[in-house]
Amino acid sequence: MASDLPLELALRQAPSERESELLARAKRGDHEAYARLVRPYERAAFRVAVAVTGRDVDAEEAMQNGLVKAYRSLHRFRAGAAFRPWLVRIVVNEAHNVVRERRRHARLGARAAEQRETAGAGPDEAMIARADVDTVLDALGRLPEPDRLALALRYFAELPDGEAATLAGTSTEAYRVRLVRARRRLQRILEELDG
Amino acid sequence: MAERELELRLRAAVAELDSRAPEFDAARLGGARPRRFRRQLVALACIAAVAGVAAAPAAISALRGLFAVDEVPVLGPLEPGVAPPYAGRSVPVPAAQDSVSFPVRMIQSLGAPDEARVRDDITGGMVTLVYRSSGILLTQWRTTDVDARIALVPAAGKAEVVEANGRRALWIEGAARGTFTLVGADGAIHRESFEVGPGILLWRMDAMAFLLQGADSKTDAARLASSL
Repeated sequence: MASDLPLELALRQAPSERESELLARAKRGDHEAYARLVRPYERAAFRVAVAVTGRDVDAEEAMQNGLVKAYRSLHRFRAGAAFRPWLVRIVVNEAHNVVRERRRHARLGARAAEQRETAGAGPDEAMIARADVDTVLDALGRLPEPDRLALALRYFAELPDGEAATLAGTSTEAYRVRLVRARRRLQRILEELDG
Repeated sequence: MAERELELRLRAAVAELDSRAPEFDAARLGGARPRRFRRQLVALACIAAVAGVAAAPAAISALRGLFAVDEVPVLGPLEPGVAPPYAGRSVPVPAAQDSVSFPVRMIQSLGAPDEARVRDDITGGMVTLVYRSSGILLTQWRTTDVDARIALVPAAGKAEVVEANGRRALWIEGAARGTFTLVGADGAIHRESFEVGPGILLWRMDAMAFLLQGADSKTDAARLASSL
């Protein structure tokens, strides 16, 4: 079966002996082994959490909590299965929890203060990059949830279409159609935001 | 905007987010160890076998009185045909009782509710009382008219039987979503979702079902449920 992943990514995702060794040690309760096991996936987990929650501070909470829950649920992970989609699924669920919690607090009038971490003043290019990522995140946040998830799974979690479709609860074909539609919508929103 | 530009901006966003991404804080694992679910199940099965059949009827009847929980791998988007949550139209609190045929119960310890929402567009009706200062919502309906099911992601949520005012109740928290099945004004069966996160308490009492949302913990929820 032809992979829909770029070769570099496919190689990166190939289960290695080292990963299975770390997994076995983590299942026995070795925290250090678990931290090393998840290190290659931390960035993808954070990115997809940002896409769901829209804020760094919420995304970090979702990522950290998700990775702790994944550790506690290692017994459910099937040996030989791809670790990345399993982990991403847990982090996405956790990110949804964080969003629900945030909405609840908003309803109660206890809106949490914005805590976006900002690095010190950097070069102009870095500032522009930060401004643009905020625009992209703003645009993503205006998409319907299924569209936002479809884009996040492709671009931020870097999942192949088949696994992203499973995670999104749809067929691969339907996921691809959704992805095309989501890209078009995102383009339109970005054009509006760019003025 | 060209397709190519969109790709570039998304990839630039990835690079920028990577520069912000924190490392996993392994200290959060504390003294935790991965659960050994299968072994626990086996152990529970052994205990049940030793306990004998005498204990079985009580356990079965207790569970039958609660609500259906389906384990799912992921919540995903709402299924086609399932409507988003809707609490109903807002009415003055005293008018809520006139809108339904069952006695509306209130949480005595919280005083008078600030608002009432009624569903008089469905068979049997449904009432949600809003206690704004404490952020509590109490929804009630006849068990014969509305069915509630929970879809739960076991890796990211949990369902637990707790005791509230001497009755068994179901505490759900984490990654879960509820679905009501009810009969609409058009006479057709409809499905509507309801929110679970961060936690809800469901219980039955006198042919009525109750859903409590907004409690900080299962203990808090059980305490409020005992105050009806």
